[in-house]
Amino acid sequence: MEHKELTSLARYEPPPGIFWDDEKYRGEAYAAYAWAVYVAEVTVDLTTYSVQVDDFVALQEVGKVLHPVLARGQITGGVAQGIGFALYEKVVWQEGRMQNAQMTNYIMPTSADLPPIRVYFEELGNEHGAFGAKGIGELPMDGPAPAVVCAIEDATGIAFNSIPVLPEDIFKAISKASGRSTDGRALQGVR
Amino acid sequence: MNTPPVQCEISLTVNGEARTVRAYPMERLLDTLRHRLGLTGAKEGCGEGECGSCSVLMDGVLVNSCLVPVLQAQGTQIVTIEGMAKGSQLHALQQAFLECGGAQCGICTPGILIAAFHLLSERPRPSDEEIKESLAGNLCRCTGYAQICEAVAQAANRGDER
Repeated sequence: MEHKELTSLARYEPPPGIFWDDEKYRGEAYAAYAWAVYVAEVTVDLTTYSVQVDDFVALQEVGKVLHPVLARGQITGGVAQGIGFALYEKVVWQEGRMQNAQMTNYIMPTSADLPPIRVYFEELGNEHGAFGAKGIGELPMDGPAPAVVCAIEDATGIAFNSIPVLPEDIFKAISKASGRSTDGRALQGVR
Repeated sequence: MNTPPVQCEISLTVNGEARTVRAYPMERLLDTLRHRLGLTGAKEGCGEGECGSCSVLMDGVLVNSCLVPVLQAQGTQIVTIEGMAKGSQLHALQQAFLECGGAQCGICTPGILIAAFHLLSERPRPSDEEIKESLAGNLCRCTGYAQICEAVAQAANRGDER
């Protein structure tokens, strides 16, 4: 098959009032930072070493809430993914391929696994966004997993430095820390 | 010695309508519904019975249509998402999903609506725990399930008012 010359064009025009110099790295690289607070309450079961998130609070500054129902859905959905990220979703790589690329062995949260996710908004506005809105869907993917892992630390006294924190990871860490297996109690923590 | 696969005639009732299709006996009910009957509401998610997006009712039983050979559906009553609304009149569950934000990307929605429909047919006033348990076989990546469970509860409450 014969191909003609391929041309590709790209153009970016910043919104008025936003300046960024890519050569000198000066200006506003991100015009609208969003802010959030995430609080997780967990119980660590010392028989099964599984973690249950009992309650979750998300407070998120989004500039302006444009549609309350959909806005809340973006946060609850992101938090659910964050909890999955923290507790279940382990990607196992083998020779460049994902070894567990099935819903059978890549575990994500179901409706029965999640706590109530209580969402609160703070609206400080954003002069560049539509009606003062900022981005909303990305941030709830970022904070919840650290909140859950910190709550596990609060409960167990052990800091985990990778996710997901699976029951076998908790078992190993607690056994190592105490020099023996534990006695089946449950530990609670909040962060 | 390879004999070519032979299609057979399957008669079943889909959303109240008698249908007869020629299909390979081990063909997945999901494929028969989607490709031979044009009912594309049931979705293929995982194709291995884990995600529930292909959920339909077969003789009142909630099944993953990706795991049902169509031969097994011979003579059965099938209900798919297309059978829920009455013309342009949405089912109470569909209306509640719309109002509560129960759907985002929409791939899991037909299966979840069928699972919720099944739940309410067995337990018209489910507790929040029962709702969560009964939808645990239907995976949703977008919503975090909160608004889905609220929609099911709202539809159940409205059912009481009628």
